[in-house]
Amino acid sequence: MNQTLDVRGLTVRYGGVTALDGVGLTVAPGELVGLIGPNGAGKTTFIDAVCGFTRATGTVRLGHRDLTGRRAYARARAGLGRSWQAADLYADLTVRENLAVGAYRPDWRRTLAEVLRGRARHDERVAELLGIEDLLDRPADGLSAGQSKMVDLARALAADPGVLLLDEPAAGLNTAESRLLATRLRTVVDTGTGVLLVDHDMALVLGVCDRIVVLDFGRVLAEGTPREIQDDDAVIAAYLGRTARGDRRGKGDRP
Amino acid sequence: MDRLILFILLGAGPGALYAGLAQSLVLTHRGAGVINVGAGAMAMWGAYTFYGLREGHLLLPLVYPGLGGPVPVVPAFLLAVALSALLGALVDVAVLKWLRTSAPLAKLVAGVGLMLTVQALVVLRFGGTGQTAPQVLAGGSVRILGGAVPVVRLEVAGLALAAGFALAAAYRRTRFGLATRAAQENEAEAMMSGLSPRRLSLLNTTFAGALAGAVGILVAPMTQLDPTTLALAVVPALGAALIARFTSFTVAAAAGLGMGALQAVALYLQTLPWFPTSNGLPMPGLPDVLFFLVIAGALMWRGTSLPDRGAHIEPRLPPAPAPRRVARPTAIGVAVGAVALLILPFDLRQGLVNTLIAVIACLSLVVLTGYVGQVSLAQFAFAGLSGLVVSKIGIDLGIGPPWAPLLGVAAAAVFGLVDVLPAMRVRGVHLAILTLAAAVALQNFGFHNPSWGAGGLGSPVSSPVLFGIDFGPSGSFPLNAAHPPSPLFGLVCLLVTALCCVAVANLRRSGLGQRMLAVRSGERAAAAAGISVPAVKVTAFVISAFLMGVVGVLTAYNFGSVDPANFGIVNTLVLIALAYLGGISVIKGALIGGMLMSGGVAATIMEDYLGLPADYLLLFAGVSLILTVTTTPGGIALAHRKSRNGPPAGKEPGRIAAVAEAAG
Amino acid sequence: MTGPSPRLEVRGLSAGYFGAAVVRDLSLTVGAGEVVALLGPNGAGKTTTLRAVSRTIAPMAGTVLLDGRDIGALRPQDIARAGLVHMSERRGVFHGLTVEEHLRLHGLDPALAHRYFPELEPLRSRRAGLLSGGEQQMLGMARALARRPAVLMIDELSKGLAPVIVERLLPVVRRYADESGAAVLLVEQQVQLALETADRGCVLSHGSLAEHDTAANLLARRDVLVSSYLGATAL
Repeated sequence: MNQTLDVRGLTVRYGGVTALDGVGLTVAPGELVGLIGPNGAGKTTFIDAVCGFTRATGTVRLGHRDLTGRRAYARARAGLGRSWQAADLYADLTVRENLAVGAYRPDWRRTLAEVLRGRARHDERVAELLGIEDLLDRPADGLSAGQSKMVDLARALAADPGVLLLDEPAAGLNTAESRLLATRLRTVVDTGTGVLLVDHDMALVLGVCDRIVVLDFGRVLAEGTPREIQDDDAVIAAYLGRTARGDRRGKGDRP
Repeated sequence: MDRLILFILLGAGPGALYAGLAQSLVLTHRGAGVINVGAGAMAMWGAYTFYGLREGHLLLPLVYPGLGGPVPVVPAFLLAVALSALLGALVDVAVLKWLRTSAPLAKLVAGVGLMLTVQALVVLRFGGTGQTAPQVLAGGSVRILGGAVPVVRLEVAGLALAAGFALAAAYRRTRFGLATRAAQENEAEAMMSGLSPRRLSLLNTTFAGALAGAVGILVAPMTQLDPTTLALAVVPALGAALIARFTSFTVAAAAGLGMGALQAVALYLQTLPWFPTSNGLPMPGLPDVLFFLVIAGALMWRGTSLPDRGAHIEPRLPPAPAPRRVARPTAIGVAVGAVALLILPFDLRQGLVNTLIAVIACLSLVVLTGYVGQVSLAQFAFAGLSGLVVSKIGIDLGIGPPWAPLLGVAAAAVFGLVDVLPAMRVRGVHLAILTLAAAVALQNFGFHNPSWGAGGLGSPVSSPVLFGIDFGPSGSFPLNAAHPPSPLFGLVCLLVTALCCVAVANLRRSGLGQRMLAVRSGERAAAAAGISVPAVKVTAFVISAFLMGVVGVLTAYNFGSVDPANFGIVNTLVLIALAYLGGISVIKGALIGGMLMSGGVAATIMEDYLGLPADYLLLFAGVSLILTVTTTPGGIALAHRKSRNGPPAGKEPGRIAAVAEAAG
Repeated sequence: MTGPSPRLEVRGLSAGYFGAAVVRDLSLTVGAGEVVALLGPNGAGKTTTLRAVSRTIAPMAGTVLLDGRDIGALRPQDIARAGLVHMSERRGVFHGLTVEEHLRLHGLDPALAHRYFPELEPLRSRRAGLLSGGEQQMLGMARALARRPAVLMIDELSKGLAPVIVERLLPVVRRYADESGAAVLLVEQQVQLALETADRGCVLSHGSLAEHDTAANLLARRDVLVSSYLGATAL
């Protein structure tokens, strides 16, 4: 089922440091939204907070369901899928088993039947969609960085999530793999799943996203189409740094 | 009221022991990141070393050379403390050094190995009974509130408290203390600051050994000098250390003294007329129940906020591949086992029966530790409970099979559930501490209780008769049944064991087994797939307790009685050791572990055919556990596999490499 | 390249994780009193370079010379004691230690911290975990400088910090290099600020040296920098 992710006023504080400061954004079904910003801008923190891995204030809604304050596994069951910067595969399982765990939804009858028969259900459609069928029987801890990222993506997709939040899926991929990822992301989005893409590969983000949100110092700095973002002076400044004598007003120096 | 205060003052003796051990635990944790459940055993080693010196002997592993006469108190004390420090250093160099990149659980299990080894060495030298511990501090007693309080108790408590303040000051003021705190927070960063975590670990563990030894020597005259009392004093000490978050020395000292006071209050309550009695004596084991409650409370209160070392190293447990084939190996195994039961002489047949039961016990750890990465130190407590249920409802209600075994197993599973619930929020290592406290409490409060427990001699179990056939070890059988056990009982055990093996194999191949391993691999990533991590852990715990329930039932029928000696904490420690040695993560490992278990096939051959005393099994178990954990975590079953030196791709590789590199 | 005797010399360095090289055959030098900025987009291998130089990861190939001495056989803690200080992105700060304790850890006078950053004086008995990001960075820097390193490597000084604080910190680095004759290697995202501080800049791309020039020249070629960060399609 495809649903809109609606995040409002998300704020995360660690000790004396504010990592996210009232960030809001939406991801509609079939929309690919990019989330970019310099290192330390709060992109991963945003995904963690939305998925329930970091304590945060603000509201998170998926479709008509309010997920604010729910535990991470409950948010996942409600339809929030995510991938990890470091892939975080279940290293003790094969790729096929990773995908099977990814597709898990609670059902005690099926669990019991599986234990009695000593067999788990496997669904290879996602593996075909992402072109990783030949990896299925490999142990997850023997994969290359690029393969791990692809399996991580497949595992998140296996649950048929309402919205998918991807944390740097292209990190560690070479240019060709990155291009392949772009076409496959487009395929996923075209099935109606909303995707939030965090990545540093600007060619990927600018090329594939419908809309881009730029974070800087834990706040939304700009939002717009890839074209608009590319021409935004504030965004260029955020990436290259302002000149020592340049404009820095309104950027809120954090104490 | 006066009497209560008097009791509390007398409790200062054990309190000092708990306070000293708690500080020793904090030292090892801060310096090496290890929760050393062997701290009590280290204190015991110190106390026995001092005892030996006063008797004119030098206590060393397996040898006990004479020194030509007793050593005077002061040099004996100093020498014993120095030897304890040396033991601490040895533990660091020989054990902890190799576990720097291991899972916290592996480190804890190494502590279990230490405990077992030291206990075995003491039993081999001095036997299982106690000695009169020599006094260190002189002094008479003072009269307080109409009772005599030995001055020594107050002195020792004062010393323990002083040690707490001294250590706290050292950690705040000295460069060594600051460096330890820095390295504890982040080892990689500490190395970039020019600090050597290796050296800091060595120093802290050496101090921890000296402290444990000193407090053991001082307190032994007030408690008991036997192979278990001091070793198990680590339970209340762990409670105190938990309250101190394994961080504050002063809190650890105060909480340790508090645990002593708690124990004193419990003993005081036992003297009151309204206190429930059993066979004319006050009910035993109340202090242990209180310790368990304190630990459970401390874990719930501080469980999630206990410090770790930043988890820069991806802890790995041995691989647990799904078995490819189940039917054929099972059929072959059952056929071979059946033939063996029919033709083997009675002593080896008994050994095989014991092995079959032990295989199920090992399987319970395959599920819990191998699949989910948790450790329980209460396994044989579950088995004992189930055996007691079978015994009691047989005696009191006349219920036999098939209901008695089913009820026994169900009781074990339910108790497993109750036991693990307070630990829902708690991580593996702390769960293990909780189960240790539970096992000790259940042993003293439950099994040794004359009313509902097994008393001293054991609670009898009648033979299982179903459809008029005696399936028990003394039943008749047309073949080879001159001596018990009857081959029929063996066949029943074989069938049950085979069923358990198939069930655990199927579990691994099912979606639930995959989710268990997903939780083991990484709890965050598991939660992201919609898996409730606590629910999976609880499920594994209940399955594990269920299997131990089966063990309890079969053991009860096997011996014809439920003897607390078969379900004690040492049995669990040996089980963990041999299950690890066999291979904790695969069914083949459980089969190997079962062979090695006390009373099993290997032990029978060793004793009856090679003439080696059984006490050596304890030593073998302890040493092999340490060796397995440090060198081949996969155990014998996976020893042929290439060791996976290298964490999985892409997991914060820089930091892992940084630490691993420097550790080498 | 510049001065006669570089304090830090890296020759043919390759490094990465689990057999996959992130940095390939990289060579660079930093002379006495010189500040060199190591620039490039994320994933270019800047942090990996620093880690391999300080041997917090084992390099795959290459030599690192500290004042002409090969430090290849040393452990990270020995390299740190030999005078090469690596400030990681974690800022070299231990959250459980107070400001003062950070200096006493090295047997140094706590007052040294205040000499570089008087702001830290009133905070001296506060635990570092309770400091703001800027104060933590000042503490890390004060501690690093108090150790009088011969070579100082700083990873992303500006990460998560407001520009005003970065502008407070970078001149301190510059002054230290000028006064002590130490070599400074600066990995920095705030390209503009970094190049205004540095003498030279090296731009990494996919683990290799893509650009190398004086800071002034690089600043003048802003378009090159923009394209290396925001992709060739930008602007």
